[in-house]
Amino acid sequence: MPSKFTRRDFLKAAATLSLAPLVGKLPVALQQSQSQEQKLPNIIVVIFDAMSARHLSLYGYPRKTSPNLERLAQRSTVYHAHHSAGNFTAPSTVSLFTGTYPWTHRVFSLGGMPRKDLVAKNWWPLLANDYHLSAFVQNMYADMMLYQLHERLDSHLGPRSFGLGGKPFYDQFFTKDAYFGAKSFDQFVFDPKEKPGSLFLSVPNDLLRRAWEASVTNRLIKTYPDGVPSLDGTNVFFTIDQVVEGAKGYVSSRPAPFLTYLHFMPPHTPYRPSREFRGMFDDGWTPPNSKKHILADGISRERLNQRRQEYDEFIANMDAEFGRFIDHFYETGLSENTYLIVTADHGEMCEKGEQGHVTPLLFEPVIHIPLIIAAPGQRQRQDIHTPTSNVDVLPTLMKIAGQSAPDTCEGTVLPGLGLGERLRGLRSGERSLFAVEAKRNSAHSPLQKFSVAMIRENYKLVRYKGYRNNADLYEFYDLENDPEEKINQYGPHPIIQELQAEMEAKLKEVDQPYLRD
Amino acid sequence: MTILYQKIASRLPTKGQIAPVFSLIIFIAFSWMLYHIFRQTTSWLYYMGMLDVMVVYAYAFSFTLVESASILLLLLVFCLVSPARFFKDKFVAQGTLQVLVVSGITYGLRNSIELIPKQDIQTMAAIPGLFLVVMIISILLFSLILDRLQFLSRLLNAIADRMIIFAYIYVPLGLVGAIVVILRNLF
Repeated sequence: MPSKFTRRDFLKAAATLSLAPLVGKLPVALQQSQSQEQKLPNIIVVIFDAMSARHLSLYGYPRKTSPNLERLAQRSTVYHAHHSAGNFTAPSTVSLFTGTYPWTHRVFSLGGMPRKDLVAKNWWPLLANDYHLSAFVQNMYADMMLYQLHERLDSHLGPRSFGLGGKPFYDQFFTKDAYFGAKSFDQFVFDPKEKPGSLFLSVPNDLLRRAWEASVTNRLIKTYPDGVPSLDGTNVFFTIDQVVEGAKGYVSSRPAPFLTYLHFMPPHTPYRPSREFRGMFDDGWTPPNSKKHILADGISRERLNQRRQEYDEFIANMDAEFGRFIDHFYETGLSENTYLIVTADHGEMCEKGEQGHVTPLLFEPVIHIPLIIAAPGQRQRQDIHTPTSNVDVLPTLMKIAGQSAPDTCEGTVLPGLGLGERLRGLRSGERSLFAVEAKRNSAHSPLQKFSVAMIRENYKLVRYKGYRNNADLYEFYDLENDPEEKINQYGPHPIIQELQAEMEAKLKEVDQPYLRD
Repeated sequence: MTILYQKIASRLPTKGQIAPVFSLIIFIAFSWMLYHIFRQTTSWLYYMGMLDVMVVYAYAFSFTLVESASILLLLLVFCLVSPARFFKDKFVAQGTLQVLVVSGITYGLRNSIELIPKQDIQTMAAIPGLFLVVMIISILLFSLILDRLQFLSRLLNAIADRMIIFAYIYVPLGLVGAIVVILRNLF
């Protein structure tokens, strides 16, 4: 007996049939939804710690230290006058994230704390709604800054990732309070450099660390005859090839659209190139002689040249391994929908009596850093000679994401990327860039002991205040005609006076909030 | 299980004997930590606020309390495995001397470690063994000395007893620090 077609059945059928026209559109709707999510290009920001542009063959250095970066440059925009806002990691990294100079964000020292209002005004929280945020940071101090500026990334790999083992205490036990975990444990209780805060347990910790270092070194002595690369101030060791391989896999697994920050430790000290690169610059070449600066440590020329060679070989090692990352970037098609931004946090001195970057000096080797940007689908090289700063990276990223930079930002959109940057204000001569070093100055007080470099067009005015005998020392260099900064031309010249007046006005402006009545 | 517990308990000193020795450990550990933290504080204040510095203090206090407890545990293990006449029977005096021995060894090792060549794993591996040997010898030696010099025993007991006041100060600070650390890492 056939079942009756009831009124209820009729109503069900009618409702279902009314939706039929939409069924065909469902796949299209889903596709549109997915493509809306991927409208934004991915962004990869790569930092090489302590990589000076002045030591890269890409920028004309006589030693062939960066053939792979040169290869990347053929399909990228290369910035020839890009400068860091600070001469070491902590202030430079915060300047990069916040688009502000150190006298604004107030991170003057390694363990510094950024101004509280900038926690909401840096690229991490600002892009959190549009991007999958991820970071792999080998430098503990950069990691401490990142934790302060945005605690909850979608993915956050610390210094021990892709390494051979060894774990900073904060990365192991205190990821929810990383800054204070690092400050308390890694930098005080178990401080490997100064007198630690622990009398008893720091000794077995030290022994274990040394034994660990010895075992790793002995195991890899054939590959790394000078020792295995390590993270300064920690017990983390790594091989560059393993780290780059890990970074490749990490980037490949990010869901689009992603913003991934990769902070590689090399070529920061200790300079430990692999056997293949060790001795590659035993070429007898020596750089032009440079006079020792009065504020330098006074390291001998012979020692500087030796350290320069080690540094150059380490750069070449990192460049060679990074070449595989570049290959991966192009071969997997990431290059078609991703901005690859390659830069450094600061440079390194190997001249004028100074080695490294723990220095009050602000010469070009320590603040002139590489910047190479491969835009999605870019095929042609472009060269930009306008001076730019790492405070310009934030507004550039915001522009890529279709947003405007926060009101605290002191940079402008980088030229040459077709992002609609305002040409007025970016023409040479209309904007001054700054680099600030103020380790010995309180973050809560006006600047009294500091170094400031101001760059405008090809001119550079530097001021060193409060160092020896509380002196106020000015220097002036013409970077176009004297790129090695050998001739200090400071004197009563109209251009110099104009720049000095601008610098003094700027210092007065930035000191204002910290003046006590 | 109960028999084992009773056996172990019978080989350990009483709480009244442990307290003075623990107080001495706390005094030494916290004194070292406080000296160094006060030296650092002036530079920390250059870039941290007072509350931020207090958080670092909380971490340091809680760690030092744990460190003190671990040194006490080490001494209790030696007490457990040693014949009673060498350690347990004169725990306060012997424990006081051993705390001074451990403090001296770690202070001396601190600088000596820097002199060990980086690849010399054998020397590094030998240090714990040497430490053990020194501890055993010092336990034996001091036990003999304490048996013969009663006034020394009384003196050490008196010193350790007077350290208890520091436990009343530092243990609560350590516990407060631990609460701060736990809360900051839970949420």
